[in-house]
Amino acid sequence: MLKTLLKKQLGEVFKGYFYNAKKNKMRSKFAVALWILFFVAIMVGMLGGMFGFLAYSLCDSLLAANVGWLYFMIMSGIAIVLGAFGSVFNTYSGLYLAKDNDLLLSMPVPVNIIIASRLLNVYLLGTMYAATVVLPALIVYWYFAGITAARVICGIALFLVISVIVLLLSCILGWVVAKISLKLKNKSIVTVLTSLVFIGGYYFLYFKASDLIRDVAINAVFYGEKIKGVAYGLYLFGRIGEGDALATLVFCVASVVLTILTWIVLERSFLKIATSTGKTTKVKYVAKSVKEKSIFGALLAKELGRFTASANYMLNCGLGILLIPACGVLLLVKGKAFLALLSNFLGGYEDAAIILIITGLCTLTSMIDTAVPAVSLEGKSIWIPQSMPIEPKTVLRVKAVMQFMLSGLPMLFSCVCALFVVETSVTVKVLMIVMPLLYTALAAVFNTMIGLKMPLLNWTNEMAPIKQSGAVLLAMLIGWGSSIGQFLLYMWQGYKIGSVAYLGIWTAVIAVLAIGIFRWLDTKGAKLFASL
Amino acid sequence: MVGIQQFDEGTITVCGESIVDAPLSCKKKIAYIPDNPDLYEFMSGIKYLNFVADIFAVPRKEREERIKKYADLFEITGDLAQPISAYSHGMKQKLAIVSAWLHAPELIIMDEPFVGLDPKAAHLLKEMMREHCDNGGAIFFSTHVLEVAEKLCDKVAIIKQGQLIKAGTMEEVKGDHSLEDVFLEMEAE
Repeated sequence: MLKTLLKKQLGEVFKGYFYNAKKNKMRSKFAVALWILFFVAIMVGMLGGMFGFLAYSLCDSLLAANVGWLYFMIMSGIAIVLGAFGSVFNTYSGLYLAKDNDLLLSMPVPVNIIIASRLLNVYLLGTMYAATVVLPALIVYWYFAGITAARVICGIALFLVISVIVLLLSCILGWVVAKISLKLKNKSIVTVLTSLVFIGGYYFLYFKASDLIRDVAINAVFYGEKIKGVAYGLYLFGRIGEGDALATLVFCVASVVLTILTWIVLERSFLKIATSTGKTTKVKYVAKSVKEKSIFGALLAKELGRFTASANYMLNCGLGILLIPACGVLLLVKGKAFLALLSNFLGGYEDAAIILIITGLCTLTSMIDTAVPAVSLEGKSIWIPQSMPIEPKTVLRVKAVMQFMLSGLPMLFSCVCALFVVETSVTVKVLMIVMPLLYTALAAVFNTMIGLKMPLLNWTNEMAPIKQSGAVLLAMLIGWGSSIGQFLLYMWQGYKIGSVAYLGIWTAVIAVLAIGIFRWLDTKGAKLFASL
Repeated sequence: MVGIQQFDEGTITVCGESIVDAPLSCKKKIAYIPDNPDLYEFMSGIKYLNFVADIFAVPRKEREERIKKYADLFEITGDLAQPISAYSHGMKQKLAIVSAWLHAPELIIMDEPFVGLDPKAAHLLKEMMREHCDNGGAIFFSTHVLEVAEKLCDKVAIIKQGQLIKAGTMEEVKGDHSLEDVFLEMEAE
């Protein structure tokens, strides 16, 4: 029974490897093998390789300072964070908010078996993530320190202890996420903000990590003594990897006790958790007068509502809304220094730095692609615009306008910021505003066209049209290619005609293309939408 | 007929206007309720109703009156501020019905309209359908529940494997038999 439940649990987690959501059918054996190979390559090659390199750069110097335990403490810390955060959302949905709880509870399955299968699932996933750090760390350590039976046995014990800690942390964090999620009102906005904080934190740590590691490696003895004095438990924990039998025994016993305790606590509280729907406060309807909208206004409000209702949509298709103005502010603060640096490399090319700034802003515009999945996101509700007295071209125009609104204002802000930094002619300054704005308009109509030509209406998970569709990838690649291309072309031949002529030609080309695609949307595109 | 399928052949006119030549004009006179009410789940019930009212240009006073009237009738007024994603199938169906009646259409097209409705709501819908027709409107709906068709319809058409096999007034189609008997007889042929 446990095996069957576990198989079902893992089947859900790795569903994407066996089932093609886009085509709504099972993948072929060959495709499944390729996906698994891809997964292994990512886990072993990318994550394992990355942490193996980190272990390699740390281990030698820390061993030389005779603080091998500090090496294991650092690597174990990374493994625990990666394992716990990697599986926390799976724990949240799999352990606390599983959709099949009702079904399983109605079957003759003992509660402790359900709990065990859920825990095993969380354990295996957490262990998988943690292994990408711990295993390379152990191998690197054995390579530098030499292999002994005690080190191998204790190393394996360290791996098991870490996996238990990851399990416990995942359960606690999953519980916290479940509790917060049940109480949140604006889940999408909070999810976006939390994700942005995590992304920001990740990049901050990433850029700081090399300094931190260098600092630890240089002052290993100092940090070692300090940690040993303040947190002896951490020292003892690190000692497991070095082959300390007593430390290994202490942590192994503690792990077993904590696992049993977790199982008992979950078994006793599972029914309450599984059958709880959360205290959702019902919003009471109060009739109030509303302002009438035009068809265009109503559709635009609907598109904006769709965008702000989905954290996935905002994060994957609207990140540029924040990045473009951030780039503008960065230009205001560091622009002069940046231009001075660029003049060393691009001094021979007139206004090349300006073209590069425009290229950068246009490239960031490609990160706002709300119009690409907009048609697909109509999904099963597409009958609504099709059956209502709305011209199909109006539906498409609204989708393009929404993207233009979301990208145009940030772009205008950043262009104005750039004007304060660059010193050039008035004509170039005007073109620095007009051309990027026209580019955002072109991107908006082009993305609408791509989304319309490659629709995906039978999705079961909105991530399919938002993130996993070929249309999104194509739009992004073409966007990046065209914006980077305009800089490369300038460096190759464009500088010969001067920045005014070059930007003028690009502006004209972009305007013609935008008008052409707009006309296509109004005519052939409208017919295509009506036939979907 | 409502614009979600393309024409293969033939013509359809609504109040004398061709749906091909004047689709927008025809659609303004039509309301459509599909068999599965896939509405905009990210909207609240009231936002959806206002969205529909905006598209059909229903004046503010009239939309407020109609929303109150029909939402009260179907007892969903208290839930209008909730997101549609939180609605049950029956509530979505009720919301779709309210939205259909919102712009006072001349023709209402419904696909299996009683599926998911509780007995009280189903009874209410039947009364509204009768009232709409008595006031000069028309309702075109499909159903597999023959008792409902027999009780409600003035005219009936039976389709078998995509072919229209019998059509006419209820009396012409069923004569002295029940509609179910006629249908089963045709199935056996």
